[in-house]
Amino acid sequence: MDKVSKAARTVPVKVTVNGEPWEGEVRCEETLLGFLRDRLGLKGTKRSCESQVCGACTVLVDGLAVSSCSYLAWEARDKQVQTIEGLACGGKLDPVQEAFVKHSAVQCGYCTPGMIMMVKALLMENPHPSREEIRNWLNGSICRCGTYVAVEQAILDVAGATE
Amino acid sequence: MLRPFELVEPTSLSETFGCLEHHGEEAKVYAGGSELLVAMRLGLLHSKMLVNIKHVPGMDQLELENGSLRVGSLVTHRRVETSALVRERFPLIARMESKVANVRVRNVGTLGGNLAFAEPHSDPATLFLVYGAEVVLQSSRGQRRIPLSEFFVGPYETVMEPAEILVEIRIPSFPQGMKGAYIRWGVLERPALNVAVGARLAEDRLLEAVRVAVGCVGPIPIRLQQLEESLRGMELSAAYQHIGSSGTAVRQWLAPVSDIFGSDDYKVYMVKTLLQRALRQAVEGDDHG
Repeated sequence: MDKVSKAARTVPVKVTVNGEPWEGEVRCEETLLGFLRDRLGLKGTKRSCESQVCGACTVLVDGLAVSSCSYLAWEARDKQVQTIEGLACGGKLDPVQEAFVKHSAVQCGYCTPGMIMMVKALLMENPHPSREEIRNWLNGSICRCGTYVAVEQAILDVAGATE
Repeated sequence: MLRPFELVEPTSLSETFGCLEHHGEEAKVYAGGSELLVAMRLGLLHSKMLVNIKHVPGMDQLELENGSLRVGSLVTHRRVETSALVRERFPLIARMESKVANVRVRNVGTLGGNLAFAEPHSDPATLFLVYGAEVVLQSSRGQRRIPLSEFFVGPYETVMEPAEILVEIRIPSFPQGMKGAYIRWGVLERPALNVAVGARLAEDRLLEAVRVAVGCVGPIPIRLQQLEESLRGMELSAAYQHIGSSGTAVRQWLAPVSDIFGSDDYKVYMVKTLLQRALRQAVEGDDHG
């Protein structure tokens, strides 16, 4: 897609979200979070700290975990965006989602979509993370209900750890 | 909510400078947005225009040249952290980068942006000071190289001119035999305080060369050159003791204030403690890079 060579208030964007192509104009200041929630109605991605601290708004852009609250929507042009809504396939939950259910790694659930997207990114890069690697990776994914131990168990389980 | 702004996306350095000169202070350089967008959302800063320099070629190199690491200003923290070259030749830098904020910030945030923003609580700035790093600045009038120790002027303030951009960071290797350590302290995303040390022991186990940097406590990260000089030639046990008794001087050099990160007394105490630990880690460890 063309770069913006003259100062512009909107940017033409072609993007694929959960496998579905989208094409249109976005405002320069529109965040990916706003784009996903308000334009596409994908409310699974949560708005929270709006400063890249908490992880509730995590989505994957070309497989990289980003805070969609602080990621401008036009930055996703020509890229693949994956949100929590894109994980289940044909009515069947993703193995990470299954593991979160099995280990009750959820309490109020507000951080869960972002937490799960962080875990997806971790397992893509490192399919068998150690406890320490999991903790380092999720430093910056905040759960005020304190489900961390269950989350860690769920990840170890889905990664096939024997402990 | 972000207030509306315009976007321009130059594809060359000359186009970038033209744009910055034409729009003056209203335009801000955008390279990842980790610092900038937060400041804009908080209303600390408003730019009428962002100049996205991600399509300008020649600022994404991560390579070794004559023993120095050349990092283009568009290189992300994550790329430095995971680079095989950096892990092999500058393992201390790779480890420091793995502690910057969180994975999401490191995926989009650039090293150039971190330094150019001059946030006083920066991980890389403090460590790079002990390497004697330089930044390469460029404008339509040409290039200049500035030691990092002269780059920061105050919080969020550098020597950069309005229509000048940071294009590269150059990090020399430690001198032969020098080993280093970096310690950050804090519970939030940014370090509450951080220290970096480079040290070389002579054959007789005396400190032959010492470099010490402290960040987050004063308005800018700095090398404590007076402390470096007084530590030179000391035995290690004497050096630890000297650091422990340098509270008054540390307070004078760093002018700590009490804030959300801790009281001034606490900061002085922790600087001394972390410097002792960092010196021990440096001489006992194996971080030559």
